[in-house]
Amino acid sequence: MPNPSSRATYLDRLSQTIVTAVSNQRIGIPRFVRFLDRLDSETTVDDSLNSALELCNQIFGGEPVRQQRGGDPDTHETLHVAWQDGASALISAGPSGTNSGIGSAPEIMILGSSGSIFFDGTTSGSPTVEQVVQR
Amino acid sequence: MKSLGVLCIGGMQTHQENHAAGFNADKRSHIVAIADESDIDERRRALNIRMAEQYGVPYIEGIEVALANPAVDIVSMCADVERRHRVAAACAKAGKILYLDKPLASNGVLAATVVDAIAESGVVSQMYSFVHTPWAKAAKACVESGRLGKLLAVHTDILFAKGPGGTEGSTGLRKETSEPSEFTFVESKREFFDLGVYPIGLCLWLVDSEPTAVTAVTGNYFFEQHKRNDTEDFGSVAMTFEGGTVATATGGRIGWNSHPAGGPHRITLVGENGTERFDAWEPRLEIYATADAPKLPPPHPEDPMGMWRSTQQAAGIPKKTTYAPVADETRWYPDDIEAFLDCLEQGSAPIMSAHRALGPSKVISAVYRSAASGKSEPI
Repeated sequence: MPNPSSRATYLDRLSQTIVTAVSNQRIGIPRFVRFLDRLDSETTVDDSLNSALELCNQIFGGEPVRQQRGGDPDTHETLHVAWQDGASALISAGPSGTNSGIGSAPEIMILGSSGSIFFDGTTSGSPTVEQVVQR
Repeated sequence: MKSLGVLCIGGMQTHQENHAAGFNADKRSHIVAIADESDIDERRRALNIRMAEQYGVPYIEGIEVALANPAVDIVSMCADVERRHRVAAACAKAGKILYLDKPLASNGVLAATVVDAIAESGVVSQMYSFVHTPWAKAAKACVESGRLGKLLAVHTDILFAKGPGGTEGSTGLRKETSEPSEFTFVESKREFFDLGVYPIGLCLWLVDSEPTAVTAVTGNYFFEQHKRNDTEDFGSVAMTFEGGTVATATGGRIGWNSHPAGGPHRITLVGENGTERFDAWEPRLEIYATADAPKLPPPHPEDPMGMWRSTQQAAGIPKKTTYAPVADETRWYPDDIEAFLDCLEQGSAPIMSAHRALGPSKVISAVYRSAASGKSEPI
């Protein structure tokens, strides 16, 4: 994903797919999100954490009641977050880098009371998403 | 090396099932006897005797009597969590080599008493961990190669897809206890205590340091049995190290149907030059076919969570078939025991010695304090 708009389109489509799966009760009650973002040079840590937190708020249906932050805002940071009903999340963002070999999209694990969702990231697929959005 | 005599403390329906099988399979060791404290309950005593019968060795009542046996070189120690610190310390004082169940004790303070006893006696020790799995060794090699540059973060998930999940339908909110004292139940256990030790141990080993502070959350997310027994089925922790490195870990039991294999087992390393992932199930084949998918049978009444090898087999829990990983997970226990015996044979120090294993115990104690207070807690 070479440019910010492509990444934004991709993540927006990914978020919609996740929220649909959760709201259709495919995994029971959502309990925990692990969001590990691998950033290209165009995306800031702060932007990534904020968009991941927004996705978690959609999944858990509200704002968190507890939020703790660790790391360095210029390189890698982690948010540890909890919601009123006990749901929680670990949200991290760091450099994808040239050595990663696994692209610059997030890995996501969502645990529900009766199932789970895994998104292991991808090194391809972005052009397909753009075609879907333009349709 | 002569074949070393192994005394097993604790029997069936403990991790001794795996320890004993590993020592029995290696020609450098043989099982001498099963033993335990003399005042244990009848259920535990009967399960210990069953293991003695399985291996055709005597069952010895009383630790002191068993340790006095000159044929005992190694103690494989799987006493119940609530009393394992005093049993381990007694074994160390008797000068026996120790292969220890995890974690070392019910809290960091008691774990330190085990480490002190081992240091005083000078015996070799190792706690079971994942440091000898191929994916963890690959992660360590990555750190040591320096190809990621300065290590910024380590993220680990060790979640077991076992047990009939989906039974806890109310809020996942949990009121945690800052100093838990009960750990042993038939229907459940404290999963972050028992499983969180794996990812925390990996984080501390990979960072090669101990954290200064943690934030943690525990929950009752998946199983009504855990909620009924006031034991968490899931926990997560974020750890801060000197120099700014961050590590996070999740540990818990998520239900048999929530993963196509044994559950998420993964390490992600983040360095200034990039990110690398090490997954127990990668590389793998994925197999889809017309054959019926395996189904979880009714739970075994003595082990509804599918914790133990013997009761898994008795209940007929099938092996999942979708993932065929290139590295075989059935080797993890034997590999750890082989590495331990290699150290004894070569005179080298085990990686996950009791001294190193103290770190995870201290972190777990801080996890419960943080989950109870809702705040960052020092180690």
